[in-house]
Amino acid sequence: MKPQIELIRSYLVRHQFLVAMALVVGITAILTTLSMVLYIQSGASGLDLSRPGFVGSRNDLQKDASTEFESTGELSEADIKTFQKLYQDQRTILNSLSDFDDDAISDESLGLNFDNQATDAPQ
Amino acid sequence: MRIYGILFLLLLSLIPIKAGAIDPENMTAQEYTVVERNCKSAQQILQRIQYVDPVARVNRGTAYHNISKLMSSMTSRTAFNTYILPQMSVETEAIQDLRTQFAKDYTDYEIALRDLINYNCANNPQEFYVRLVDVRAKRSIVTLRVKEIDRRLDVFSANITQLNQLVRAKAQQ
Repeated sequence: MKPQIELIRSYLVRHQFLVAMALVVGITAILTTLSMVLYIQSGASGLDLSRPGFVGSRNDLQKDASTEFESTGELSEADIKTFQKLYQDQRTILNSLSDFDDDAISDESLGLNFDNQATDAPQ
Repeated sequence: MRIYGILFLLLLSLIPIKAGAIDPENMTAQEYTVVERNCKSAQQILQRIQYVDPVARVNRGTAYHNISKLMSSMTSRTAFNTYILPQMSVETEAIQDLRTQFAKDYTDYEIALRDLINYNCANNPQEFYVRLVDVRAKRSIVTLRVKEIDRRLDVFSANITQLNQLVRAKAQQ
């Protein structure tokens, strides 16, 4: 057993640079795999619109409008009107967006039409 | 407050009833065949949805962030001016919690949808349909969350109208 360890040790010493490179590549691969797993499992990948498949979708992103409203100071009717305008702008954006209703993934939308197709199915 | 929580749980409990048009655990031979024949095209449709939903999710997230910021500022300013409207801070806190829950619910839905799209449905159509029902249930939870946020925003709007009356009354004094 001891001569074998000595053999491995002398091999590692003789090829220090190669061993170091292999270690670096190995550690990088492990860390990259780990970060990819976290990226996918956390759901972040689903929201990442910088991916190639989302080129068209990126144009549909809302531009970030200014929504600054002072949290201190006097409060007049004009201030409330300003606030209501900013608040309503955001609500208008929200009302224009999908609320993830069920219809998009109903049986009919997915072509799983049991009423019409069941009669065609083999018995 | 508590009654709204109970109402939300009640609506949540109704989801499985609405989720699937057929019972995935007791599929007939015909239903099995329909799923087997069409599951690949269903997956393609789901894939398109997978590309559309994130845009709505990101846009909603941005708008919720902006509106929550506005609500916090207005609640602070109302308190600064010694107007007593406790419901405003209740709604502001509720929106912040609901935003977090919305993000979590959407992630759960998105992961389930991704798994469904990648599932080898030809091998097991029944399991595919079980997973589809699960995705529908998760999507319904997201929808309920959106509706709950909308309702809270309406309540906050009503509070702003009330605040406006208080400010006007104070100015006329």
